[in-house]
Amino acid sequence: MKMKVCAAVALALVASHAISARADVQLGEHATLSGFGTFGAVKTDTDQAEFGKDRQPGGATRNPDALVDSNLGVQLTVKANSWLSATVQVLAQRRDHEAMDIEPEWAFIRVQPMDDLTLRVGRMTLPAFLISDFRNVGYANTWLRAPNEVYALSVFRRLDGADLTYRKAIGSSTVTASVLYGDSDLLTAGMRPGVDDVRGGSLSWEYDGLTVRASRTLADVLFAGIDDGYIFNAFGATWDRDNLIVQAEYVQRRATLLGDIVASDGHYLMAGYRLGNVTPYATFARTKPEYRQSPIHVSFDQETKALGLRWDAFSSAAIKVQVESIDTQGTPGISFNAPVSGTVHAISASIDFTF
Amino acid sequence: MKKLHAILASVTFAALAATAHADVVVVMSTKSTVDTLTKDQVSDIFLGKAATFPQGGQAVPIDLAPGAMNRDQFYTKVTGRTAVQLKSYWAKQSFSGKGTAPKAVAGDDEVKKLIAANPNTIGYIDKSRVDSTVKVVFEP
Repeated sequence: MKMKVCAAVALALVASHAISARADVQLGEHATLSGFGTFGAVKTDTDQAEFGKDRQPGGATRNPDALVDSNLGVQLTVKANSWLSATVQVLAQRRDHEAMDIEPEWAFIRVQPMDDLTLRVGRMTLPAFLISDFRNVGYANTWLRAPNEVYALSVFRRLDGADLTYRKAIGSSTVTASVLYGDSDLLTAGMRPGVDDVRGGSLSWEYDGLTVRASRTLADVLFAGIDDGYIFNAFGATWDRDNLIVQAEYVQRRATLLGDIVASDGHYLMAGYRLGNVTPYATFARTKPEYRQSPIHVSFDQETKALGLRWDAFSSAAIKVQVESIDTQGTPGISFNAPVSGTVHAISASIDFTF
Repeated sequence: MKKLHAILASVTFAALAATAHADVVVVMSTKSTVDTLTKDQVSDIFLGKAATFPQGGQAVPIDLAPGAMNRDQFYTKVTGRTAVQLKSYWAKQSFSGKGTAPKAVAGDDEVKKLIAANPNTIGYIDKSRVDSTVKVVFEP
């Protein structure tokens, strides 16, 4: 097994090195082809349950799993002129099935009638979180994996609709306001409830190295004959300046009728420090259901302490390792597919690249 | 701990070596109506946060290819970002469809050629390469 992981890492290194020699591929005057990916493996110290992210069916046990974190994205951007462009991004990753599947993650037309105003129509990431837009791009993130205690709470996948963003510079700070409307689908293994009338808004403020953001997403979820109202609130902040990176988010998931089983809170705090090309970081994350008296929950208690390292070893590729200690208080938490007793430890390694 | 000190020392030394080498200046065509820009304005243009000049007119930034000595100095001084941070920034922007990095050319001569061809073009070159075809709009 060790040999297999070593071989995979070696292959990834060779591949990313070969790839990183090339930059974005310019196809004629208007089109650009680019991509990103992660080769990663994770293993835990228990066989009681499988460890994954979001609602992935299957994950790591004492047996390493390479599909929890691995993905590959290819993006084509066609820019017609200074105000009109189209973007399609196809992403391979583990979603509903144990194997990877390939789906268009983004497919939208972007119109910018004024410098400050942007309208996008098509398929986009549902931007509930601080880093929703680039969560899948390992290279763009310090950590190896976004804390599941917060990021797995949002059960929606993408937005098929439109969003309108207004961006205004006020002195040396920038305020961005965004509203969205459309349909979505739920990220569940097997079941496919309908998600209609997704509407949301976000407000963010950037000053120097500081970004503060608040967002709210509402939707109608039709599940087992019940039409329920879904609410997701998120507050986040990032500080990234002079080698210090601090990021924190607090989120709330609520439902009008099924609140007892759906309502949960989550938060995390991440801090990292750049020492040249090496960035050590630490993360603390926690989630808990709101109504403890309810016998069933969509997700349960979980607390993770993680230590990791990002090493920018190549010009377009970074190597990361992360060790985690996960406590679910005997429940399945939010990262396991069955209850686990005691504290579980996980170790992950990845290489993230862009091309 | 000793190792950490050694790393810190070599990083500091590398940074010093880079800044001691040459001075970079931000230039535009002499035909441009833009005369001076602030550090924040130059930063916004090169990070794709501003598509136009404060005085009006579309801004067309021209970058140097990664690895060019002046490039790291320019981005560190103007945007406060190292080459690695910049790469990560453009990964965030481009893969969420927000924008793409400016077009990059190999050297100062090509920057000057593009500036001569279009008064909306803005670039950065070594101070010693400034001549009558360009004007300095910002000196970091």
